[in-house]
Order: sequence, then structure tokens, then C-alpha cells
Amino acid sequence: MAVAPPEEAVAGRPAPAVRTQAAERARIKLAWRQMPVMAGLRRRFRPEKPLRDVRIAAALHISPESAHLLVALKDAGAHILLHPSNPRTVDAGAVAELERHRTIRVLAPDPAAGPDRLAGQLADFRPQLLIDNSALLVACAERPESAAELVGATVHSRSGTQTVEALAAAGTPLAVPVLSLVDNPLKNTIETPMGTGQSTAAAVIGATGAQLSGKNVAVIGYGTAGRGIASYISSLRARVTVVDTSAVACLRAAAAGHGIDSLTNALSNADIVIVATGTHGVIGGHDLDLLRDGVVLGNIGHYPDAIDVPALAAAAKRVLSVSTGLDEYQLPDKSVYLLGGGVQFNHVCGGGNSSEMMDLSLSLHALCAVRLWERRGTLPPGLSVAPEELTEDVARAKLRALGYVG
Amino acid sequence: MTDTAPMPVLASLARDFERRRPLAGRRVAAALNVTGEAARLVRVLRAGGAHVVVVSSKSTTFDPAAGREMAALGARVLDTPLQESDSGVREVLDFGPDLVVDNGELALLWSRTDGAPAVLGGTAHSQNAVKKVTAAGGALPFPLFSVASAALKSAVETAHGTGQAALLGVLDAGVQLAGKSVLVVGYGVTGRAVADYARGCHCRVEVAEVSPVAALRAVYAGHRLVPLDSALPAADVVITVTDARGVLPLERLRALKDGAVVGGIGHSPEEIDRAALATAATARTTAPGRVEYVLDGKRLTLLEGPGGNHVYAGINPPEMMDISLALHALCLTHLAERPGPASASASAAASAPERDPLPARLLPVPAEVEAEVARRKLAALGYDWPPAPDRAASKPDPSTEAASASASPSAASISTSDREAS
Repeated sequence: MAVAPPEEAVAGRPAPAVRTQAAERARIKLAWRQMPVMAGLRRRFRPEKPLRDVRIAAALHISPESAHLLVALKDAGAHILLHPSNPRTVDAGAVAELERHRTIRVLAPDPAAGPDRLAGQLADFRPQLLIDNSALLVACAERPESAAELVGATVHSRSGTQTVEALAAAGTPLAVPVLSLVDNPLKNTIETPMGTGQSTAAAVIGATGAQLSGKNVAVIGYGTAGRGIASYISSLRARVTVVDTSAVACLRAAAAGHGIDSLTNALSNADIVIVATGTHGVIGGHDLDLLRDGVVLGNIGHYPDAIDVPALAAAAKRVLSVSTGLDEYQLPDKSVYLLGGGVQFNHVCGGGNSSEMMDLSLSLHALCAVRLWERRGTLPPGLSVAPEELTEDVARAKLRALGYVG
Repeated sequence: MTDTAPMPVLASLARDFERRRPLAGRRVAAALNVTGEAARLVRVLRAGGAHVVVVSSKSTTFDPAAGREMAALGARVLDTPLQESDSGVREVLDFGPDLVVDNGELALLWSRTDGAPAVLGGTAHSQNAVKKVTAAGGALPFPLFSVASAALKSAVETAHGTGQAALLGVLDAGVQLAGKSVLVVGYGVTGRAVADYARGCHCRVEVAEVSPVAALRAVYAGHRLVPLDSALPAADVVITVTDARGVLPLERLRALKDGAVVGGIGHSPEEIDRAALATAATARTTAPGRVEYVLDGKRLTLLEGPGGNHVYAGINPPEMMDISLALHALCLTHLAERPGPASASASAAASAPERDPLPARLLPVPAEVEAEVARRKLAALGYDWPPAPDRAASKPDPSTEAASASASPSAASISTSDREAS
């Protein structure tokens, strides 16, 4: 019997309960306090105005943290057009905060609108800089007049760098420099493993109230995020079993002291299953037989279909919303608890990566934007990594904020 | 190391190579530390059918028994490093290798020698080897696979082999580690390993590091970041893991407290100024691997490697060296089994575009080579590969089994970011 998943699970982050405007601002400001590097940049940008009257289009999840970046760019003198990269992750308080600023325009999230709408908006805006996942680059490629005044772009997702490479391969390379934060060491070795590791463990505990110690936890996928998760979860005294198709990743996991096993065995033995891959269709309907009664299942990977939620719903007699971001699927012979409706549950059930961690890559975006503008016309076109000295500037500022002088 | 030390991947390669002879008739020049472990690699190369000349990388690490073992396997062993021996240089050039295992000296020799015989390519076993060539002016004369940057080498062999060896060296000095403060100087791949194992031994870990990105990483790993000079007086154990010289000159050694233990595992023999220490302090060797000094009335234990080598814990457990030495062997067969530039005929080029000649630069170890070594190592650890379901019987339909295998997760897209700053 097919049962539609409850509304909340589909909508992702639920609308916050009615809160006063002052309380919402306090929440945003607390996040900003935890972003001392960005706060330092704002102090520097306000008098210097390094981006005076520069038009910047940004594709970002709308969160208190990304709002801080946009306000910093505004402080630097920029005019900003913000495209929400995922309508499900729009934080209403952050939108309200951004609307206080005249030079920041937030496009209304509209899941139904096609890419044409964005392309049209960009053609009108004529951005000079982009802060992108890949949507803006794709839209510019569609309407080349959008990019007539473009000077450069920063990208923060693998799909962004792939878009740049695809455009080059298609014989229409971008004529502007693109700085990639994808393989940046701050992100790769600190923000992702520490941020995702902590937010994932916190979200599991927060949503279920489970005691992790002594539990069998299956971590599916042992990349940068999976390693962070396995490390945090095992520090909380759970037994971690890693599943990965790469022998190299599995040897790494074994050497780190984790168990490794087949997907089938890991699913059969797990109390908690965390999917941390970059692929589709990891757990399908035919895997449901393997799961234990009471298993907790969640996905932190990019693709919402890593867990086949429709198949789970089809197998369920009943679906109950247990708490924010946690649904109980009552199958004939067992209950399966799904975190975050199958989408990134560390965002849905918790606040995602901590503001303190996001401070690193978002501040680097700001510095890269300034670099692209100040050296416009001199940087080589095409993809390159975010400059090492800017990465070091961010690290140094963070160390100072943490109380280390140097 | 004894002949029975566990190096299961090399042992399995030796068996396969004997049957398959992937290096039949190939000439391999290998710059190696002449050790028992390296002799296992030579055995694999010989089993594969290669002619082998081994050039000792360092006189200080030359183990005569290992040299005899290599010779008994049919390899020619030159016991003097190339930079000290013109006759060695001539012999290597006359030998005319197709393949090299390099510490940097062979590539340097080729880039300096006009008319040197063509080499298909080789492998480099440390970051230092690569630095030597690039520091001397840049271009590599042939493609080199960087075993040093393979994930298996940094994330498994160094992270766990060197991490364990570094702490074991301290334990050998009779130190109870729990509750002690361990100062790790330098937080690269190896420094991280040392800090991680020290924490596992219930030490208070302090890290001194000059790079802000590495320093931030140490802080977020939960270690205490300290300025070197202010941390020295309170440290129970100091381990230097840098690329630099003069990290611990005499005046810093004087700052250490009575009973402190000091050891270096970085690249430079001058990381710790041992010569000045020997002059300024009275020494007595307390046991193999450590020398006790009395400096300004304070006792100071300096850890050292076999034969007084500055690297006190440079020898990873054979079980771990098994990994990088196997990477060398399989990279060489990978090179040997590709058509060389001479045979890059039109038909070969048309049929296999990936068989274009490799560029003469530093290349990552091919993914299939790393996967092969990982599979063999996992098998030795008792894991089937791929891990087999215990309950295959509960899967009624073989077609769903196949679908599950093909849809099973690949870490490829999230593991591509594994190239970590060292």
C-alpha cells in the first residue's frame, strides 16, 4: 500500500515555529558571532569598499552563514543578486535579514520555474562576478549576453568545476578566470570532515535520542565526509562498519580501525545506517528485507534518491511523523525510522555544518571575489584553484580568532 | 627483519610474476635503501623476469646481509650512492635500463646526461626524490609515478606505520606515555600520524607548526597549538617531523627539561643539531636506538636509528612497507605492459586512445594499481574482496543481486578530494 511521505519530510527544513523578529535576528547574529573571519573581513571591507558598485550574482543555500557572506560583499560595496540553490533549504530568518539591505536582491525560490527564468534574470543583471555552484554558469552559457561584463567566478561544488570543463570541452571555454574551492585544503581537511562529522552525529542523536555507544553503525561511502562521520561516530563509542566499492578506501577504513563489509551484511547488522556517497540509488526497495526492526536510516550525500524513499513508502502500511525530520515507516514486519525524508539529514535535522566551519570556505569566497575584481584582466581564463596565500589568510585569521597569535 | 616478516602483498606478487613474467627481459635500475624489505621487492622484480641493478640510496642504511640477498637473487648491487661514484654512474648508463625505481638521483642523472639511453618510465618513492629533480631545474626526463603521493602510502602506510613506529621508539626508551606531554614539531602527513598515535597512547599532544593551514588543522583535530620556544621547557617528549634543518639547535636543546626525550624523523639529518650536542654534552649510549646526554646538568635522551641514523623511526613495519614496495612493482609492470613510444604505431594509437605515450612528468599512481594493492592487502587481513554477503541465500533473485552490485555506492565522487595537503 502506497503512502505519501508526510509533508515535513518532503519539504526539508520545516518552517520554524512562530518566533518574534527579534528572536530570529538573535539567531542569525549568534551564527555570525561564530564566523569571526567573516566579521573581520567586514570590518576591513566597510572603509575600503574593494567591490564598490560591482554586480555579483550568487547561487547559494540561503542560510544565516551565506547571508553573512552576502552582507560582507555588500559592505565591500557590491550589488548582489541571490539565486537560492535549493528551494528546500531556504532559511526564512536569513531571507528577512537580507531584505534589510537595499543592495541585495533575493530571487524568490520557485521550484517550478525552468532555467530560462534564471537566464533571463541574469541577462538583465549583467553580473561582473559569480559565486556559483554551477547554475549561474549554465545560465550564462545559455544567454551569452549575460556574461558580457563578467570578470570572474568562484565555484564551490564539483558540478561547478565540471560545468567549466564541459564548456571548454565543447569548444566554448569561459573567457574569464574561475577559482575553485572544491579541493581547497581548508574545506577538504577541516570543514567537510569536522563539520559533517559533528553535524551528522548531532543530527542522529538530536532526532532519535539514541545512545550511540555500543551501537552498530553502517557508514556507506568512505570519502572525505564518510571518513569524518566514521571518526566522530566511533569517538562516541559506536562500532562503525564501512561499506565502499573502492578497495583503497576500504583498506584505509580497516587501517583506521573500522570494520568493513558488504552492503548486504552491513545493512543486516546495523542499528543505524548513514549513507555518505556521491551516487544515486544506494539503498533500494530490495534492501528493505535486510534491515532490522527499529533501524535508523539517513542520507547525507548530495542526491536525494540515494535512499529509495518511494519504495519505502510503498512497502509501508503507515507513516508517522515522529519528530522534526524523523518519520517512522511501519512495514508489515518492522519499523524503519527515516531521517530527514531521505535528503541531507544533517541539514534537515540539525543546522548542517556549524557556522564556525562554514566561516572558512565562505570567507575564502569573499577574498577570492576581491582578488578576481582587483586583478581583473590579468588572471588566466579557465579553472584554477583558490590561491594558496588567500587560503593561508583565512587560516591565520581563524587561528587568531581561536586565541592563537601568529 | 627476517625472511618470515609479513609482507603478504609482495609474496603474492612474487608468485604471480613467476607465472606471468610481466617484466621478462626488462632492465630495471633501482635506487633503494638496501634493506631486507627492499630485497623482497628485488625478488618480485626478478620473479617477473627483470634484470636488476640496485644502487644503494644511502650508505648509512646499507645492510650487507640484504645486499648479499639481492645478489643471490641475481641482482647487481652497487653499494655506493650515485652522487659519490662515477663508476656507478657509468655502470648504470651502460646497463641501459628501461625502467627505474628512483630516489631522484636517476632522473637527475638522465636530465644531465646527453645521449642517455631511453627509459620508459619509473617510480619515485619519496616527495624528496621529486623535489631533488624540480629543484635542479625542472623537467623530468621520463614519466615518474609518484608512489609518495598515493593515498595508500600517505593515508595508510605513513598514517599508521610511521605513527606506530614513532611512538614505539619512545616506548623503547622506557617512557610511560600516558599523561606525558608530547610536542610534535611539524604537522604534515607524518606529523599528523605521530600526533594521532600519541593521543591514542593518552599523551597530551602539542603541535608546533609554521603553516597556518596545517596549524588550523591541528587545532581542529583537538591538539594544542604552541609556539615552539615556549613549549620546549615543559615537554616530556619532543619529536621533530619537518623538512627543515636547524629545528632544534643547541640553544633549544638547552631549554629542555631534565629527563626529556628527543627524536627526529624528518628528512634532514640536520633537523636536530646532533653534532653540537655531542660537543657540548657528555654522552653515553644507554641502549641501541638511544643515547643519553648530560647537558648543563640535565639528562637528555636522543633517539636514533640503526647505525646512528638521524631518523629514529624511519623503518615502518615490514607489513606496511609491503604496500609502497608493491606499488613500485605494479607501477613498473604497468609501464612495461604499455606500448613504448617506439611502438606507438598508428594502429595502437587508434585502437586505444588511453595508450598515448605518458608525458615526461610526475604522474599519480594509476588507480587500478592502487586498487590491486589494496585488494591484495585486504585479502591478507582476512577480508574477501569484494566483501561477500553472508546471507546471499536470502536474496532470491540473482538479477536483483547484480542490480544491487552495480548500484552499490562508489566513493569515487567523494573520494576525489582525497589529495590532502602534506
